[in-house]
Amino acid sequence: MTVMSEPRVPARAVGTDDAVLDIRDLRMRYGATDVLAGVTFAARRGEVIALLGPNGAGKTTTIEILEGFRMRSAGDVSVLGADPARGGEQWRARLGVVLQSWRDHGRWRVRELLAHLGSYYAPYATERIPRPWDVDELVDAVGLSAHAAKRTGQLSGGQRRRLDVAIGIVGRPELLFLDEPTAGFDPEARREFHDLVHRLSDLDETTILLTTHDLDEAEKLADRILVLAGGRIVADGSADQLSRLMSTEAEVRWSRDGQRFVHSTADATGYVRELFRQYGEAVADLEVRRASLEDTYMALVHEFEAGRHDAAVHAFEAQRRGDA
Amino acid sequence: MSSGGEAIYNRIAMLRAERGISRRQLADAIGVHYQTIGYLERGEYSPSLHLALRIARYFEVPVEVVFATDPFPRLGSDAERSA
Repeated sequence: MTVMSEPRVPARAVGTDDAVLDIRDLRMRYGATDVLAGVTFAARRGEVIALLGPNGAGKTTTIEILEGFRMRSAGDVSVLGADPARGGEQWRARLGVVLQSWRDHGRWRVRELLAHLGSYYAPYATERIPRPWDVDELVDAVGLSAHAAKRTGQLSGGQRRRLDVAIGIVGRPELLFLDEPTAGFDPEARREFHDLVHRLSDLDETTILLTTHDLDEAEKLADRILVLAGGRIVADGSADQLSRLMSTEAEVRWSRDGQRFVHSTADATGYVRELFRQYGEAVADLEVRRASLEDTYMALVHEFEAGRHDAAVHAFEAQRRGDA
Repeated sequence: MSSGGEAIYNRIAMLRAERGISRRQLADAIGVHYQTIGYLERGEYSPSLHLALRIARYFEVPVEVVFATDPFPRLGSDAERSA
């Protein structure tokens, strides 16, 4: 269980809580099938969390429960201090949602649509958070300035996705759910989207929970990564913590007298020390490559699917305690 | 790539094809990145002695079946046929 740390910004309005998300033992059952079998995690204000897991692991179900779109079977869920099953308009106005596909409003023009949707949020503006987001500023932030006058039906797939993101954040949400936000983005659009996520979390302290299948993206964006498999969180930590969790081997490369060598070892430091002891200054082009998040993720999921998920979870918890 | 007597030749690609093993499978088995198998097969990198022995063990053959300091005879040559 994650322990809340001290608030990063001391001055807060009275009564606000830094635990934006607090989920304990969340369960979801469809008929006789447990889709979620006890999910527990929390998120602090301004934290970016990536929820990873194989297809059918329960990612979308989890997000839909937190959004209040789906009623849970059991468990305690607090989202922005309220139970999503009973959240009112006031509460909903503080959430942003970007679904996997959102294809509607085809005849609206980009700028008009955002201005219209934004107007619904105006009554929920606060001293700290002006609502809605200024339309021109928003259109610019998502990189749609050149297309602001277009009908949404005329946008390309990537542009449409940017509009989906704009619709999700037009109300300046305090908590933003992004379900596979960059599906269909080219590398440049992806980079711009990452910049936008950093801006939302760093400047506006928006808490973001996103799902993705792009592990490189998760590594770049997320403060913390949760791996959901078989209806449980099997790993919870930073990309770096996760990569140290699985004892995958590191690859050592070097050259000597113009010849290139490669070796794999669990103890890269020891190997390199020995390499220098033997060959000293003849060693050049030294490179140590550790397991990527993808390697770790695959190892975790395979371990889980092999029925050893309890071992994986315990190893992870031991690792975290060791780090603390 | 390397000059003089330092060159190391290998038959990793041939063994892999013969056994129906993918680069990914071999990479996972010996703990290197996927692309590194390509580097090894093309001779851009030489394996450490330990890694070479592990590759040989993976294919269950003596190390000299996989690695040599002289080029391997082409398949179908006399040396190969009499072997």
